[in-house]
Amino acid sequence: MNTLKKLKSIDAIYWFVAVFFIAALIFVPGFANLAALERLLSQGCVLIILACGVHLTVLNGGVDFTSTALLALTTVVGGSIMSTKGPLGGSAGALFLGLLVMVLLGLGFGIINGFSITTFKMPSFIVTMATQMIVNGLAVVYTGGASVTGMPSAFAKFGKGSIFIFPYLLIVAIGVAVVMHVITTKTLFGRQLYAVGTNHKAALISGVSPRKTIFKAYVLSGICAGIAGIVMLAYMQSGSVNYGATMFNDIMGSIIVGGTSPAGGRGKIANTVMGALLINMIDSVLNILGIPYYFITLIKGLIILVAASIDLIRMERKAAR
Amino acid sequence: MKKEMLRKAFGIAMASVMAISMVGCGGGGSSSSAAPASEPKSSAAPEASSAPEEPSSAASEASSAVESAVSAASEAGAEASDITIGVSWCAIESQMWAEYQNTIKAECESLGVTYTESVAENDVQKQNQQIEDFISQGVDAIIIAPADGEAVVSAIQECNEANIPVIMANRAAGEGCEVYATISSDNKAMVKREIEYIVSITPEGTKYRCLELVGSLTDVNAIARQEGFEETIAEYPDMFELVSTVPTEWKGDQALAGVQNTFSADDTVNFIFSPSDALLPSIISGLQQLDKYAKVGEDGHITLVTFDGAADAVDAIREGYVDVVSVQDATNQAKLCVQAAVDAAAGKEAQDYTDAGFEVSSQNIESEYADFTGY
Repeated sequence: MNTLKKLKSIDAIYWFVAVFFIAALIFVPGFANLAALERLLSQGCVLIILACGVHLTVLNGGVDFTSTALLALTTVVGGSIMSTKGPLGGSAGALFLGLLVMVLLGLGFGIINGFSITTFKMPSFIVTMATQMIVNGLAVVYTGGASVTGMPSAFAKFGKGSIFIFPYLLIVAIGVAVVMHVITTKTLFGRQLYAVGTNHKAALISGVSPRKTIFKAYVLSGICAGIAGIVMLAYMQSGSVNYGATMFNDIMGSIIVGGTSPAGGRGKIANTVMGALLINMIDSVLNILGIPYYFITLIKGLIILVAASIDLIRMERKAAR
Repeated sequence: MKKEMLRKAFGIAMASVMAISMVGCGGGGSSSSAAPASEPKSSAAPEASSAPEEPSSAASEASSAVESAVSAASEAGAEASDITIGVSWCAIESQMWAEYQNTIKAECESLGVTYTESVAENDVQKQNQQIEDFISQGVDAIIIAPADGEAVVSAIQECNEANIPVIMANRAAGEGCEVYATISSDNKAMVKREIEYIVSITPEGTKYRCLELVGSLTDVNAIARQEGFEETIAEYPDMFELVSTVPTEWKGDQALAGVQNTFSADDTVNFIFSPSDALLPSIISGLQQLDKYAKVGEDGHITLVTFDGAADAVDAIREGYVDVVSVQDATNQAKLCVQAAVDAAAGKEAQDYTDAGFEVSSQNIESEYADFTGY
């Protein structure tokens, strides 16, 4: 009975990932081999990092549309700095400078978002949608639309390398997820994040500064987008203004399937990571099965809907208890 | 009561996940004859079925070449029926791609080659993932119609590592990877030919003030067409003057806005170069709104030069509104793709798979290309 209770208390997303993974291992030809699993893991890294960043902004009841555009901008700017065809000729210094600039770009636009939202009291979706357009525009102006290539070989090794079946990129992604997990669960800021998301006014009255909290969430989301840019650039070995073009649905999907409330105040980073893995696995498995793209979107939508409703039913049950 | 509901809901969810995986398995086996939902442009299908009986003898040559390739393949021990080809589409966003898709499917079906596809909706990262998934799937050859030739390089490198031959459809790949063959047209040469056709029929002393639309800057073909146009008109400085260059990212709304803006700024423009028939409907509706859509030879006619050979463009030429279109023979290119893929899977040497293309103009549409309906 006790074990049953324990099993029941596990969040739905873990069940989904486990069932889907096992079903895929058994039923999908070509899925149950190490090379395929390694590819699957490296495909999910960018989504995990972006979802972790946006997760923070959703926790306080907002959203960050800028992240996918920042992903593209950082890859073209960082890529052009470290490119062997660039002015620095792909030297070690160029590599370091490129990485630094990518994170700083994320940080910078995170600050702009956070500042605009908290100072002018504008809804986050308006602010981040506007900065998304600005960032997209900047990326196109910067490159003229062309993609950036010629990554230095050390960076290429980083992008393609792995320990057993775990790509280096996944280690970065898990690292980001762990840091975000610690920030949300073990720090004062984390507790304030949930408090502001649950009840803005109550948080204010009890001495929490919603302004500071919200500001920090957007800055962290920006930094995540910068890191995601690095991982994307390493994975693709080229920068393009087109990156992330259809990714936002997957980001929100990961967060929602993970059981995070879009209204704020509830949700776990670990579940969002699982959500990202699930979405990525659905994509990959259906591709391997040769299901047409339009069906994949449809099936993904259905699964997100089912997973989110199951989570809601469970939450209601818990609340009723 | 609630407990019961919860259990049911969970059960249904589990079942649906399993069911989806099951359906998936079924789909995997039968995906050779693509599922119905993968034919977004079903209206193009009837045209497509008539298209192979085109005047272009190249097409029939190609198909006989395919047959010989297949017989060679079976001699070499690799039965065509054992071959699985994965096709990674950038997006099926124009009639040309729809024709490409239909022809490759039909060609695979007639050869008994298993066809499997993915569509990336022009998202380059998604396309890379889908190509990687083809590797996992263990296909024998991959045909890639890339959204971005440069960004697809890392996925092709992985195909190289996995020893799966790659055939580029219509757009070339960037440097740093090996492809078995690139099936495309010489876009620059084709644009040059159609501009020279215009020069040949234009009375001396005529002055063209040109609006040039540009496709996507990440598309090598768009750039080749832009270069072809600009270089050719530069050879005739007395005849052509470039008034405005409008980037469209292959989007109709941007082409429409470009036409409207250009004419509001300069009413004397009398020549439009469209790098793809996909933009033509927008250009035509822009001209209609401005009351400038006149037939060839009529007063106020805007010379329209376009590219691809879609049914819309061919109809417009037949009706007398468009002057000339450079036709990439999508039917032929698609057949060449399958031929190359079968060659590659059989371990044969790659041949030259260039599609020469042809021009259809208001002069030859009733004679040489009387049966041509476009894609």
